Amino acid sequence: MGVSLHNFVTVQTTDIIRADPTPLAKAFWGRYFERSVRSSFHHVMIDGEGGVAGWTPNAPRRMTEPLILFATHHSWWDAALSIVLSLRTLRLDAYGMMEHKQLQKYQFFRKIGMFSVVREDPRSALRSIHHAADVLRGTGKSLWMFPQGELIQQDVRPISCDPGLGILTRLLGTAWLAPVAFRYEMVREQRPDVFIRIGAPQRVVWSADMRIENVMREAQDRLTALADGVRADAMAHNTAPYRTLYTGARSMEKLFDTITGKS
Amino acid sequence: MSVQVLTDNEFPQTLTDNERVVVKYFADWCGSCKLFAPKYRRLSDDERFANVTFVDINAEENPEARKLANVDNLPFFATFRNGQLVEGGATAKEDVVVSMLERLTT
Repeated sequence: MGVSLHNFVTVQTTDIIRADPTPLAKAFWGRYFERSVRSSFHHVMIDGEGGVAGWTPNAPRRMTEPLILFATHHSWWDAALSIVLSLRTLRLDAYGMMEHKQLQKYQFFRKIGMFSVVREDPRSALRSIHHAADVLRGTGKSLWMFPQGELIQQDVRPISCDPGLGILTRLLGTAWLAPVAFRYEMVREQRPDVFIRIGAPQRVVWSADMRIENVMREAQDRLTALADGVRADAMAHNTAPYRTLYTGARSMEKLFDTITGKS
Repeated sequence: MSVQVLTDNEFPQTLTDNERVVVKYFADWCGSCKLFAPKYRRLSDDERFANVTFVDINAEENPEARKLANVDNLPFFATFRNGQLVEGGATAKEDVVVSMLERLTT
């Protein structure tokens, strides 16, 4: 995107809708999305959250460099889960990018840290990335990114990342990058199970010999490896590494078994 | 009786001038607050609570009033007697608010 920008000089940019997070809105919407998650899934399980403990409010030594969580994206739930993870589970001081039209329509998302991006407009997208850098630089704040750029079925490979992640890393100079894989499996229960794994954050310090393409490629490799690992766990129903965050309502046959005394 | 929409500027005087006050804290983005509005208006017209002053406060725009009741979620209701906080809590259930009002008026 950086180099090819010269081809888009006539493109009209849209003003960024900026985030305006408030504690009250975070409390309200955190609980709202948590209820929604709890009622929609059998289990929500997470692995690797300890790696981002330094960005949580109760950390003995809070990180003072930004964290970029770049995640797989194949469901509407990815964004909802990222909100629950940020506001309820990890309590990160987190931000996120949201499609401009959607944010214009649902302005309350600004109150939990969303700012707008127009992906189809490279200049506007670049401005959003600059805005993200301004918000994050020199802080212990976090940003969720879905670098695949669109909803892509969870088993499609390779997982590709758009250049935004690399550009943002260059703008920040120093940042920690952590891949996040979301996976949804409907196997043994009425409602699906969610597997979430957060990869170890990796510190990236930008230097003159680095290239955006290399950051992207490494991000793609890490995200693919992480998603493959979660897929293997899901296929084997290996839940041992995961901590259960939420347990939803019982499946109908379990409820029936309880009522009839067969459980 | 109608519901008064107040700000940080007017709220202290209202607490001074009225023995019993109930406050609904809301925000523009809070759908549950909007849904509760007609119920709150109906309660303000209920004869059982004729001696209670009903107040609406935008919690995001009025931090001083918000702090008085330790508002941590929305919609949040708080009752005050003689300027002192009696109780407060986040709920969207009418019967919970009715119970708070009954305790305030007895």
